[in-house]
Amino acid sequence: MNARIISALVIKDIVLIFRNKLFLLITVFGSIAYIAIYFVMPTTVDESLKIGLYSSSPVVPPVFQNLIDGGQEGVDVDKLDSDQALRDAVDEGTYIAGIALPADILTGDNPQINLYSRSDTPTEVSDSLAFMVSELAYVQSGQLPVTSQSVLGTDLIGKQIPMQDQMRTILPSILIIVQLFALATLISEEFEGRTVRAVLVSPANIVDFFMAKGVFGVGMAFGQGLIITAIIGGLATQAGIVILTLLLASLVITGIGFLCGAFSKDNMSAVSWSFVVMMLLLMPAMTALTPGVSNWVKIIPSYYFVDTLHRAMNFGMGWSDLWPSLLIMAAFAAAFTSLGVLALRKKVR
Amino acid sequence: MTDAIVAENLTYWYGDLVAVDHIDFNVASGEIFGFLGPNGAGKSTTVKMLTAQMKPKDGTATILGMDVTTKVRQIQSQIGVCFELPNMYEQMSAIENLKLFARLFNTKDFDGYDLLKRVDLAGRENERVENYSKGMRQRLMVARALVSKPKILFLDEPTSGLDPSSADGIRDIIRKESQRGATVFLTTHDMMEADELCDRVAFMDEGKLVALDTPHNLKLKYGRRALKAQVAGRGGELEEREVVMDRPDTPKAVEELFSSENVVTVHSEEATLGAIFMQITGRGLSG
Repeated sequence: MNARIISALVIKDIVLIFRNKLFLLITVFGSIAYIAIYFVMPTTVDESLKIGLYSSSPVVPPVFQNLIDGGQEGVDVDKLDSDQALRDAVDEGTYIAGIALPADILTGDNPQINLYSRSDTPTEVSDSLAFMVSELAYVQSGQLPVTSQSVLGTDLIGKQIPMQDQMRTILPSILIIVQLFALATLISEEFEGRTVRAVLVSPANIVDFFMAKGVFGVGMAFGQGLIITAIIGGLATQAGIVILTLLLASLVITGIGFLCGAFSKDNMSAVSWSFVVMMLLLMPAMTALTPGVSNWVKIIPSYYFVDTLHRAMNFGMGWSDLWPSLLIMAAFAAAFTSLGVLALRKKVR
Repeated sequence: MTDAIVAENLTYWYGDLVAVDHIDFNVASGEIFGFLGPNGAGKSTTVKMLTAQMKPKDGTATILGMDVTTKVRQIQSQIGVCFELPNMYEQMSAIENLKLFARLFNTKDFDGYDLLKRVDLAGRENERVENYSKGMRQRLMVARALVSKPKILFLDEPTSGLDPSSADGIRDIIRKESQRGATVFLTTHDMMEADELCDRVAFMDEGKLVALDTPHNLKLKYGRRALKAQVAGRGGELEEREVVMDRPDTPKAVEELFSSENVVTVHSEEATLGAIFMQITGRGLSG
């Protein structure tokens, strides 16, 4: 291993990658877009539920009027003029749910209350709303039984995290995963252009070549991940764990990049391979923050980047909580870099 | 003169195919050595072993006294290789390519601009290689092989695809490198080029070394020299006469030609390396 040779090869890779227009588009403009998206995300959670209400009765029952007047914390209720207007507003997403009160709400034996919700309304919200309405109707008329006053499902008000904090976790992960594309195409170009032969017939040997590619891959991924994390304030909590997670994630991606480069016959197949793998790796980035995520996602290495960053950045979890995830990431890093080097070595030979 | 390259019993096989079959040769320091043979003869495999890209399956090879299997980095720091197919970093400029390899070789007093001037690329130094023509790329490949001022130059078809003027320029560089003291191992299909440049040539065929000598000796050994004459007949028409040289009756035949015929033109005919290769192997270089 020769430091002078490795540094010359790394500098060459940096020059080449910044002359690759597609990579520039993805990385430079992507990074700017990520940061812009982060800063336009809401910094607080809107904890109130916006609900529409239509009453067929000329007089809105007092308990429901109380809701309209803001008598219930966390619930904003607006009165609408017709059942159709209520349906339309819910359908357009103006309200998370709608309550349609019948004309006989105050006088009927079993008044029928209609609740409207959108298909993407969380079940917890619609269930909670149903309970609330039943309770209020009972209070109002004494006709509907109240079976429970507890909140069903997940209490979203307690668990919600501002969008900006969610992005703080996701953005560095996406940026690191995208480096897979750069590394895979760079490696495949070396083989397609036969430049690897020219390098390996100089004093540079195969170890220098792999080291240079590894340093470049990890450096690009980790460097960019760290910079964007710092910019968006991701190092404010558990900085050590966050930095280690970014480093391990970069190692995993470098190993996978080696594999994609080794299995690609040409530049086009490198783009295709890395795109498919990138899509797979991006899945946990989108789902890891959702409570009750499917177990199958946990076999995808990137789940652990996002999940560890999320727990460290947003909940301040420390080494004692996160060491299993860090250990799993270290194992993934060792496995993928070893497999990647073996595959590339075979290809070189 | 010491030997820069020594191959003894050098052998390589791919599965059942013996690509290089127990060949022996040596190349003296400062010599221009031509390595000729048709496609698939085993030339590239031999060059890969000599440049320490592949380990021989049998036999040995030494470069400047160093074993190709154990002194890989030391050998590769002393040689320059020009590949047949262009393999430059296309998105880098010519000067950036040369500077990269100068750093890999740790070349002192490197002057890339002078090197590019030598291969007639002055003024195009900062252009990206992707914008170069085939001939320009080929010349740049030669320049890259010279970056480290190598003691041995391995050149694979260095004039392939070049216009006559550029090809002459490359041949001139080869001669100058030899005068500098570099050993040149030249793989080529161009028999004229080999005849013109090489001190000795080796013929490879089906993995075997079938002939090795100076072009002159090969012609003497295998070629047929002849005297070709045009004589005027009785009606003034031109007729061809041939006197084969190097026979016991050659002097008498020459004397008879000039005494009994009206000789109009006369010239000698020498065997070409291509003809000799065909005579030895029974096939041409293209096959």
